[in-house]
Amino acid sequence: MAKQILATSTSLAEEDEAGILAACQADPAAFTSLYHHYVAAVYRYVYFRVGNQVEAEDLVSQVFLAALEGLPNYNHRGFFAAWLFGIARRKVVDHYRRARPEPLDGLAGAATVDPDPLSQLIADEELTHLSGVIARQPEADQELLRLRYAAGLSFDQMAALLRRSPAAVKMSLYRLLSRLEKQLERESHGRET
Amino acid sequence: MDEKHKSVSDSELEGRLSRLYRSASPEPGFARRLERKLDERASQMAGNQPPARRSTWWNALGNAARWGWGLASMALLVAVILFAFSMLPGHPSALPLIVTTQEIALTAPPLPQTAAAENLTETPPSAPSAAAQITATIPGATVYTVLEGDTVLSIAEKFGVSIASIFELNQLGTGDVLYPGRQLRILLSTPTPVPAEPQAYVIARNAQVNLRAGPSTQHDILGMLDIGDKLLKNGDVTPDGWVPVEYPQGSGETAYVWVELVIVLDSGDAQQGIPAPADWVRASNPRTLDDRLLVDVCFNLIDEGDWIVRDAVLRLDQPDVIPLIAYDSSTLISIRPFTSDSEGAHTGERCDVLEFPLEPGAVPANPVLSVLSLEAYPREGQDCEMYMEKVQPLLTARDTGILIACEPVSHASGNVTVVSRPDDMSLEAAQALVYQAFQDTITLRGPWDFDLSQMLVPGDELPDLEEQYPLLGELRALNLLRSKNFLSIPGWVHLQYRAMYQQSGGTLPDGTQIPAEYRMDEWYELDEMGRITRTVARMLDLSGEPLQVSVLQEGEFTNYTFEETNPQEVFYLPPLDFGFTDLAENALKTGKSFDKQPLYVDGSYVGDQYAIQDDEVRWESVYDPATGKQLNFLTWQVLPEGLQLISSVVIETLENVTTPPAEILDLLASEPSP
Repeated sequence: MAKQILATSTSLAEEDEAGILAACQADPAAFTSLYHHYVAAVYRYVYFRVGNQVEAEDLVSQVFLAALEGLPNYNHRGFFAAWLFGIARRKVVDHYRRARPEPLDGLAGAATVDPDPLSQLIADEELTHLSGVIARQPEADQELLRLRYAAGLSFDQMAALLRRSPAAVKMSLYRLLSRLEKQLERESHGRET
Repeated sequence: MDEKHKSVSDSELEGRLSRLYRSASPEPGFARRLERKLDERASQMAGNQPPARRSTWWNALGNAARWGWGLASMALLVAVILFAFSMLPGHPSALPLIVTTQEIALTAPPLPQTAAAENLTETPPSAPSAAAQITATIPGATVYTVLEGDTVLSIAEKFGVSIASIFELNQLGTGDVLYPGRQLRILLSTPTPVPAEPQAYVIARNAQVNLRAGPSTQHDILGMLDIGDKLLKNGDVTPDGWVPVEYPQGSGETAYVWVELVIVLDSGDAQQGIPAPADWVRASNPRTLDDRLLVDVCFNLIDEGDWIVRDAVLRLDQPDVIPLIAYDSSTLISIRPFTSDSEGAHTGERCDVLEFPLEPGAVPANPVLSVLSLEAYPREGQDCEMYMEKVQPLLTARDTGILIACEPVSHASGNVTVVSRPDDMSLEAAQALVYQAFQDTITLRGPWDFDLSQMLVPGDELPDLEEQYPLLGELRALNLLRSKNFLSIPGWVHLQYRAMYQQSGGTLPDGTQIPAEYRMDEWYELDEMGRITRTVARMLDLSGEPLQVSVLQEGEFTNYTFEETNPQEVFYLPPLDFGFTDLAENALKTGKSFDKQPLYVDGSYVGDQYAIQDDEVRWESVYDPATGKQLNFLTWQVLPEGLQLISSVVIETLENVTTPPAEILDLLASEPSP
């Protein structure tokens, strides 16, 4: 079977995925193979949303349990990854809204979020610099980057997840990349002069 | 720009992004543990396959969703008024106008001691000895010093005791005057503890909730609660949000938890949030899956905020344990965004599956779902917007005299400060009022109670009928098969059919006759859970000219041809069987006959023909048994001289498509044509 998986793509070859999904719907135990395929990508995506290992592990567990239980109701049309990451997005959002830390000061409600989970992991100066630039982008743009590079979704999958056309997603991402590029250039120029 | 500075090319940047975002990976130990957990869960599920929920939901649509009769049936689906009242969006001060019928206390009224304890501070210095003396002789009695303006009635109310008991205990006569400073003995009625229904609980809504020795994070951590852990509440919530609880349980000792990390089930506190109408929240389809109870909860959206179910508990009829379970997981199943039109009508709805953990092996006894509150916490980075646009007006409307300011901090939360307050108000008091106003802004309060035992349909009804009539089971299986093969999600479904009615199929909204024969061209966009998000439906005459065109999007159903718009509640894609399965089921229930035979056209087998016959009509539907695809649906009049065709629907297209053609997309204003 021809497996034409792009370097950035998380998806299984479509025929494989359909077969595995059918197997899962008949026997949930077959879920293991899907889990193996997606666990790293889901973890990366969730990790870069919440910025810490303990919470990421908790949420990743929830995502796969919800997916396992939701599978009997899932109908396959080549967008399993979009469905799975849809669950992940909602779990993260609900996590932020339900789980609040104890108050840090007198006035309540001032929950703080780790501003830059990316920077915690990396030593590479170039990447640190890049992560600093990313941290200043609007949340929607950071999400595009996470879905593309942490989750490894294709444009079609991102489109299904974000409910936009693939062309529009592609356009947004490339605009974002060129903006990042300009900012990186400007800053590196600034640092050298 | 210097050429060497133009170092970041597209592909290089992408390479860096890839390296950056791939620098995290799950620990092998975690991945293995989760795999084991999933295996366990999977084997539980395999042993107890959940019912095919989709078909149940579709069946539940009933006659109203009888499908495929073109626009006539669409009209049946339309026009459920979601909002029986109107209000200005985004103005919480307008909220108290909501008529509430649901301010039922969850637990017993507050203990009278609360009032008594406060008032003891009014007791003059000489009082303690008197109090001690009295309490020594009459257990439970206390001393109250009369203040200016007090009456026996007001004192009786304050302590929750009878007027007679005050007269009796203090040997008052009707002519006696209550002058300020006079000391009265009050015999507090001892509340009889009811072990099965204690007064107030605190339930952890998070994992890892710290139990502190005192009401601030400066105090030591005494212990930790896991999600769903319960403790007895042990006093009033402090103004800055710390809840005293009895810890360790049964010790009489007190620890404190941060109010936002727990559900407080106590009607004695001033409750957060604005009460909302009884029909604001709906629950349906409760089901158990091994050791979990799942229920679909839908609620209206009041504005464009990020509303979720904040607190919901399941109350069980179990005497020996604290019979409350908080939900520990929720999954969004659909959302129809909030919209409002120029006339002030609002629509919008969100539905989630709430999951409650049950004791392993336990059968939930008479479960009652209490949805306690809904909440729209500010989105990341929008705290200041919320404080300035919503909390400040509420503070003003409440005559607090408080002015606040908000500084955005990084891109996370805002930093709110009290800029000015009345001279006689402490900063702490002002902060507490700001906190209260903030909570009221983001919270809609119930409770909304649902007796789930009433809603759990006895599960043996369907199998019985199917056992008795295997053909009905076959039809349902075909529907399911079709939904897997053609009506899968998310994406678009295209249905095209040619309809013929012996008698005219009715009139268009302008009064013109619908021709006896026409074509329908219908497009449905589905979300991940099979809910319809958008549709385009075109009724065409046989030459392809449109007779009418309608579109459903963003919660509104619009007939472009006749310029009519109606709100449309979210619904699932039905089986697209033109209601044949429901007809069959009803026929069987009333003892009608039902049969199946292979259908040959020009000598070749095309599919299986299912037919229902009653005295007057014969319904036939032909399916491809391999794919479940329905090919046609015919209705015949039974006449003495034979059968006469009343109507026929011949399905020309029924398939999934990635994207509808441009002419269809153009009809959906919000969708840019490629």
